[in-house]
Amino acid sequence: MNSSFSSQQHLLQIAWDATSLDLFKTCPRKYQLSIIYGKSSRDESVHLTFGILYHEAQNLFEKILHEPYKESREQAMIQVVRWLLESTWDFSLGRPWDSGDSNKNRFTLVRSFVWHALHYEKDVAKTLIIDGRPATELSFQYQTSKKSLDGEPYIICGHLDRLVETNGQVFDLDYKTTKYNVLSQEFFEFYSPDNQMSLYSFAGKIIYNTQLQGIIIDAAQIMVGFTRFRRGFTQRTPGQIEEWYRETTDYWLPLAESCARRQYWPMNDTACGRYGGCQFRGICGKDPKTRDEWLEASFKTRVWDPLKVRGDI
Amino acid sequence: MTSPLADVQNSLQELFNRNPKDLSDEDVLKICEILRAQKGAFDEEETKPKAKKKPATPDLNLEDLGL
Repeated sequence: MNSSFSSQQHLLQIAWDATSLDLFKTCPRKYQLSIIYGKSSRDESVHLTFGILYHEAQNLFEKILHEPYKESREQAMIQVVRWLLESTWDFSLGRPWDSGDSNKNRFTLVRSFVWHALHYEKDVAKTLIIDGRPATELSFQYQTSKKSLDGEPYIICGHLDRLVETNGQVFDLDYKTTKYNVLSQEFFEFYSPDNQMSLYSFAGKIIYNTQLQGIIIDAAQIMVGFTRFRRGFTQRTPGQIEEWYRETTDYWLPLAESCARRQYWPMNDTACGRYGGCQFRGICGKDPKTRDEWLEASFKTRVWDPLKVRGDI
Repeated sequence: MTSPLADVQNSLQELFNRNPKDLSDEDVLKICEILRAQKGAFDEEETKPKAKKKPATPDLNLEDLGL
């Protein structure tokens, strides 16, 4: 049961997070296979597992550093490393998680967390405290004014990694793990325009009602022999946020509803080669009659429920 | 005879291959210390002047974000 879908139209998604919207905007067929069918490749699963554990480790670290635990940095680091080691250990088989990926694996995960904690030991970005708790992993759900044809209001949802304060100004800080070179000129340019960052800007301004100055992208380049960190910044003006919201509710969501009602999600065959190639390229490249068999044979099934799960595909 | 670097690597690998429930806080701290030393070596390498290095975008200086 996927709680983000309509109770009346079972193929119609009502609660939309950045991942679902990204996929639909990129290619409706990709969205269909990934979100509606819940298909996931081993490669995607590794990135997702790695990303979730990295985020959770950062979140746990921040919690232990602050009230009510208020541990020393060293003690907090030991606790989080222990948590990571246990989270990546298969106790039933008595062996560690084998990701099969030379860049994203158990060792590089622990190393990246420890190196990040050391790299930002004297960070000027201080975690915001809201109601006595560190502002990390903030879930949001916003009921839009847009309704489906059956009258169900659409929801925009997601999680903000961390709100930080520096010089009296508040920023959303978003963790990213990547294999791409974070030193390159272009790396941070990809975040404007960018659907996820616009959605987070919307959340920060409208939902949390904070004077959010922008988003700090806390990037970690994960390689076999090292993890490199760099931060970039992206900002949306009120006009840009309004434009994103209007386009989402007036154009993209009705388009998604139209696909759901027709039970047909067309292929955007100009997007197949992006970011090193779509995981479903091998499926879509086959004759339509044989695709289902290939899909069953090569992909795992999982449920992507934005109202529950945490992570980025 | 193994090199000190290889000894450290083997020691790290041995700790990673052990059931985490059997690791003491000292063992976990040792992992952190080895990783700290590895980061130190990496940072030193990163700051060495490199020939024909591509111009990089400057890291975000949060103190300069006086928007």
